[in-house]
Amino acid sequence: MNRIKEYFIRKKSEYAGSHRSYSIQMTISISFTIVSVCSVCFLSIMLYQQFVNKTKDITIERTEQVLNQTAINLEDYLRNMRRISDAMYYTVIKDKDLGYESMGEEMNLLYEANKDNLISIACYTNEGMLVAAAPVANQKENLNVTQREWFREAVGQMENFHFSTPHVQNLFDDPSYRYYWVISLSRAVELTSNGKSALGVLLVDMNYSSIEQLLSKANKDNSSEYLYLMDSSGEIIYHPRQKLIYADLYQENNLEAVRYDDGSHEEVFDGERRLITVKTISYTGWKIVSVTPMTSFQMGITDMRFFMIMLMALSLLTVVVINQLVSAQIAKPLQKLNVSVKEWETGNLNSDIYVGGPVEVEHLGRALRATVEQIRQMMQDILVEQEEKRKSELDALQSQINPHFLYNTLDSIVWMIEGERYQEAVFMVTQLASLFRISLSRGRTVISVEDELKHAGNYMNIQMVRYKDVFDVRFEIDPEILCCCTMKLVVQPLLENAIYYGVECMDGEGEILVKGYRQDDDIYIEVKDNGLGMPEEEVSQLLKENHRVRKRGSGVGLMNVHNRIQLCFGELYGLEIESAPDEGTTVRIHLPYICYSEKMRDKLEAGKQQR
Amino acid sequence: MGKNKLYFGCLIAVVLIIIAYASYGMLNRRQNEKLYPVSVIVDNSSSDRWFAFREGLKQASRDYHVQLNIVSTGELSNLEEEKLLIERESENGARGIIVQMCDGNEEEIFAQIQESAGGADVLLVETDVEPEGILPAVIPENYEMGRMIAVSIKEDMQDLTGKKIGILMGHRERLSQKQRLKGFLDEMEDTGVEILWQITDNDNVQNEQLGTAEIIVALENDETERAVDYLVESGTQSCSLYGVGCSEKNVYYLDKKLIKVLIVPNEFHMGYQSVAIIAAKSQDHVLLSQDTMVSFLVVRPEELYEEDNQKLLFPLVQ
Repeated sequence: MNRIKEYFIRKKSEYAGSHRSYSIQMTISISFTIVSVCSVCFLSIMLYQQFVNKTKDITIERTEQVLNQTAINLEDYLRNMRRISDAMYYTVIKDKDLGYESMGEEMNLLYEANKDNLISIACYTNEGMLVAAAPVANQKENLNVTQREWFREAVGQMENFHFSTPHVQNLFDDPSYRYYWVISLSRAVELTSNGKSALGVLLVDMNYSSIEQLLSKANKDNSSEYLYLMDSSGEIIYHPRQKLIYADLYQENNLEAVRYDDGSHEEVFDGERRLITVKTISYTGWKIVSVTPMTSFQMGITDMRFFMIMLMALSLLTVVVINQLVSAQIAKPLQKLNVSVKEWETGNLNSDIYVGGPVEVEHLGRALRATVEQIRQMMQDILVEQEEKRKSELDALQSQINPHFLYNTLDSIVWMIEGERYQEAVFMVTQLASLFRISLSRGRTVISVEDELKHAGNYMNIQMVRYKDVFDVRFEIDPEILCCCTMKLVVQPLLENAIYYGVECMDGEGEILVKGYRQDDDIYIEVKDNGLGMPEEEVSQLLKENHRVRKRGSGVGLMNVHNRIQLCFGELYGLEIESAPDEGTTVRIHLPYICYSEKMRDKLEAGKQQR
Repeated sequence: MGKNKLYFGCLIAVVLIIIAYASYGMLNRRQNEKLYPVSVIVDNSSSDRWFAFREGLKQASRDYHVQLNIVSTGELSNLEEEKLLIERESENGARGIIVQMCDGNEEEIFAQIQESAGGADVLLVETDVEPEGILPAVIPENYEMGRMIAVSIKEDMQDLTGKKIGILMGHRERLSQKQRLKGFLDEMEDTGVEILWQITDNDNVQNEQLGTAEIIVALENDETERAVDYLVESGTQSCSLYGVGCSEKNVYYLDKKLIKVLIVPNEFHMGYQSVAIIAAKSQDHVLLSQDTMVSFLVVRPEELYEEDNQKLLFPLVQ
């Protein structure tokens, strides 16, 4: 039980999994098609069943009509035969005294009038002697008609007509070798001879062909339905396959059918289900039986079955095509919306969200578009905010000029003036002015490498005055990079560090090398000193956020410079530090090769040039 | 989208297959309703002797959806004439040909007949070819029929010693005649009868010669009629006639007691079976090359109107 449950759960999840992958068009199309197929199949089956039932009803009705009509025709025929017999008896035999009158002429007249249906009319005495016959013919020799069944029955039941089963007439000699199948209608008659009454038998031999024709009309079509006629004891009088039955090549269920009452019955004969309709002919007790094999209902509608299948298939074809078109029409706006959303998902924030289709989809599109617009606006706001934040951070960083440096420099100038070293004082003031001019740069954050190096030079000139002969400084700058963009105040802090942490205490042996060069699309500005250096662990901590050591100098630390470069040019750029104890330190500024122009400067300051 | 197209394509394919199936069903049904043309070539086809045979053919043609063509023939005297007829029927579209061999019985005839028939199936009636089983055949029990004539004679006459018997037979080369004759002679062996003469339909013999026999045995319908004609003409009372036949004339003279015993092959059965067998070929494409034996009746005048006999002897509709 658990296994079954698990199986169904698994199947369900599989189905759910697979179902998810269907497109909306496919889902609509499959749903519509399933509903359509079911409807068409149901309708077709119902129609077919209805048709089968109707056909069956019509067949039964038609069979009964044919049966009734045949019965009426047969009754007419037999009534006509009885009338002939009556006419012969009441208008001829009863009026004649055979002692001196003959009935031959009247008998012949009656025969001639009905010869299409008759083979002969004959009248016999009770002893079997022929009284008269029409047509006139020689009676066979040594004939004893009293032993014939028709004779015995007529004499046995005098008040009735007697109809025999079909037999070959064996009364008269026909030199043309003709033998006739007849049905004998016999009755007892009262013969008058010389005023005396005597019993006799009147025989009317009906031509079997007439009955055969009458019944074969009902069996004309080639269907498997047929009619047959039997007497009250089940003896077959007519059957469309009579000769086959006589030759034992075919069998009929007549002995069973004779027991059926009038009406329809179902039976199984010879492995075949059949519908039997029985109608009894009045007076004779003969029965007409209609046989309709059940398979004939099916056979007659085989064409209809194929036609229904074809109709169903064509309907399905039409429905499937229409379903496709309708589902495509319904799904199209959703698919368009989906495509525009997917495009937006891939990062195209300017993607135009589709708005169209039915009201619901249009509403969805509008809502989505508004949402996207809101998101875009929010992202823009965030960017602006970030830029603002970046700028304010930059401003804050740039404003971190150590006031100590300014105080020391101004102090040095005071000492120079007091010592009447006016030339030097003027130089210092000039350098300081230049330094501040570049530091301010009218509020710009991006300047040319040339200005930055000039700023560095100013700074070093001031420091060289202060630290006379303590260290030496050299600038080796590739002129190619002078026109490039850089953040302002990036070299000066490095020089400051090189002085304070590198060469300050080296008593004239200190050297600082400022080297600028281009490598591919990048430019590098190195500040190299031969000072004390530092261990590797310390180097690795220098550019970390929490490592802020401000002992002396301008206060603009390495971290500050590094962050500013990255904020402006991206994380690929910034500072690289190489150092080893007693071997000096090299701090390398890595910048992209971007030629300085006002436009480029504005772009970089707006934060749009990040790689 | 790809899945949708695949699903759509599969569905269309299934629907198209259903349409193809329904179309095939409708066309095939009409094909099945076509009648299977079968031609029948027998000697003197309008003769009364074929009446029951024709009835059998017609009944079977109705039952088995066969379009029957009974070729009008006179007396077929030789094989060449018959081959031409077969060829003509085959060219006219007959798919099956029912033939009564008029002459010869050799094996090579088989090849000639097949050649003339082209693609049509051939079935023999009444007489076979030797060796038996080369062509399918529907034939009476010829040997038994001959033997039953002898048995009937023996029943009628206690002592046959020295009785002079004349035998009238159809074409000597016809296998059916040979078989009937053999059946008769085998049964008559050691009875002391004298076979006075054996006359075939081709022999130009004066009727007077027939009168020399005490018992005339006719092995074929036409020969029985010939003997009847002689007996009626001559008024001979001393000669007993035993024959094979089924024509109304023969039945009439049996009724008149001119014929002592008439052996009547069930020709209705023969006709019906012929068509049934050849029609079965059209359905399952297998035509078994084996003989189908048809029974016969031994009828004496006093038994003529017995129910079973009259059902088989007399045609229902004139």
